Amino acid sequence: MSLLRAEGRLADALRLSRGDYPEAVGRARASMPSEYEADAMLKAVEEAEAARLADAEALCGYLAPVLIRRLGSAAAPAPLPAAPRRVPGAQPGGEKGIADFIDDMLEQQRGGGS
Amino acid sequence: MTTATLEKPSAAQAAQTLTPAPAARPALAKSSVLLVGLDLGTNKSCVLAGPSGSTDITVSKVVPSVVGYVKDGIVDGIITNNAKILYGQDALEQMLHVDLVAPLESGIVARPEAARDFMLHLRNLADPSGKAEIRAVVGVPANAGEPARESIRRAAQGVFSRVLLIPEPFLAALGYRDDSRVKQPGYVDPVVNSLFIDIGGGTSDLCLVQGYFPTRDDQISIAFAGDAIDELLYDELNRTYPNNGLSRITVREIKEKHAYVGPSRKPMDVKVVIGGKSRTLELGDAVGNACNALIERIYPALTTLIGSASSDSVVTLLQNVIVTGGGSQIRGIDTLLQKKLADDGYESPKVRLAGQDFQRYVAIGALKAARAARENQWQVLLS
Repeated sequence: MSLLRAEGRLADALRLSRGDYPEAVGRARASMPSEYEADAMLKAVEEAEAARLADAEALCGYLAPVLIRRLGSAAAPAPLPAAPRRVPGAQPGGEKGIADFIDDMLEQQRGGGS
Repeated sequence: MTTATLEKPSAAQAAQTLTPAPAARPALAKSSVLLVGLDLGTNKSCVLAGPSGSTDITVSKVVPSVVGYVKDGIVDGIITNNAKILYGQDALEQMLHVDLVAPLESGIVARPEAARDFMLHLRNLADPSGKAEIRAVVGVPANAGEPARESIRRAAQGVFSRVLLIPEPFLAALGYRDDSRVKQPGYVDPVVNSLFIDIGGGTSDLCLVQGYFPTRDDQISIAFAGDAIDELLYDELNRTYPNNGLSRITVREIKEKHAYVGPSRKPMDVKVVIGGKSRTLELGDAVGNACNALIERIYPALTTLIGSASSDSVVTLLQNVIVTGGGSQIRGIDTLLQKKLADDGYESPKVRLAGQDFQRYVAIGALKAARAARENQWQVLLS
């Protein structure tokens, strides 16, 4: 989902987050003997994936400037179109926390929107 | 060292801090991490610090953004501890004995070495022990490009372990927000619908804050702010009173004491010392013209952003235009902007000043952001 968002494929990311992903989680939960064990298993998977993502981001943060310098601006990817305008208060999922704003900011930066 | 407390976090924020970060990878114990909110300004910087996992603020300081490199040949004992580098007010007070260097221009790093030295100084203010792992949220001008961001990251390398760079006007909105009142009926949350005008030394930043992170289209940064007013006033004084010998620092002090916008407040008699003799200068028009030049630049940007807001939000938005930064101390700036909007037909506009903490809102917002940031949102700086 993060990769899709980074590539600007927001609709695909949304489809995955609302469709395939909850279905897969449901199947995984059903296969576990108890709710508690299902929660523990899913938490472990999420933490492992989040750690992989954080490591990848840290590596990218280091490598990207090096690559840009080496390849020159000609090889830089074309910026993605700016994010569509949004209406205040029309946030899917309700009230946003500061960390969600930071997520938005980082997503904009990855998409060339800032 | 001062100790203060951030406003009580809202229920949503409290819940957020209790939720394990999704990227809970192995890290140092939270107690050893010091969080810093940093407003790196062209003229003045503000640093706030507090331990992770707490709402305490252990350090809160506003420091002139200047580094003084002690000149060669200064006699022992003239400079305290025979230091080679002075910072902030200490540097200004020893200006005869140091080469003063401003690390930033127009809100971005202009002299990398001095910027790095200055950041080290801020780090030492935040953590005198020098032992803590420090993570800093640093404010950057609205629409700061990647080269400007990269120069800040480079200056912070080896100083802070992790950083997050966030546009200043958004941090000002976060800092200005009264978290204890967010749920109260009638409280207009600036993060939900407001327009911030942050007038600093190097840039004036305008930003629509409407419940989502501002996009590039929601922010306008103008390279005309306090320093530009100083230059206009300096030039005008030299035209009107040739060979007056007033330094730029004195001119800035005159501006900070007498700045106003709107109709001429002539006569405005200002006492200065020229060549050792006290003189009274009439500066009503000089100060007014220099300050009104700022209005001529920010008002078009203000109406541009209002025009870009959705029609559903604009009436409430007009009730929540907030001026902050050093420029908010210019007399009459709120009433003049409000009058211009009303004269241009905008519906019941209300322009307010952020208030006495104008020098700290960006840093307060930065510290709030540091406390809320998830583990995987920080950018790791390699030494």
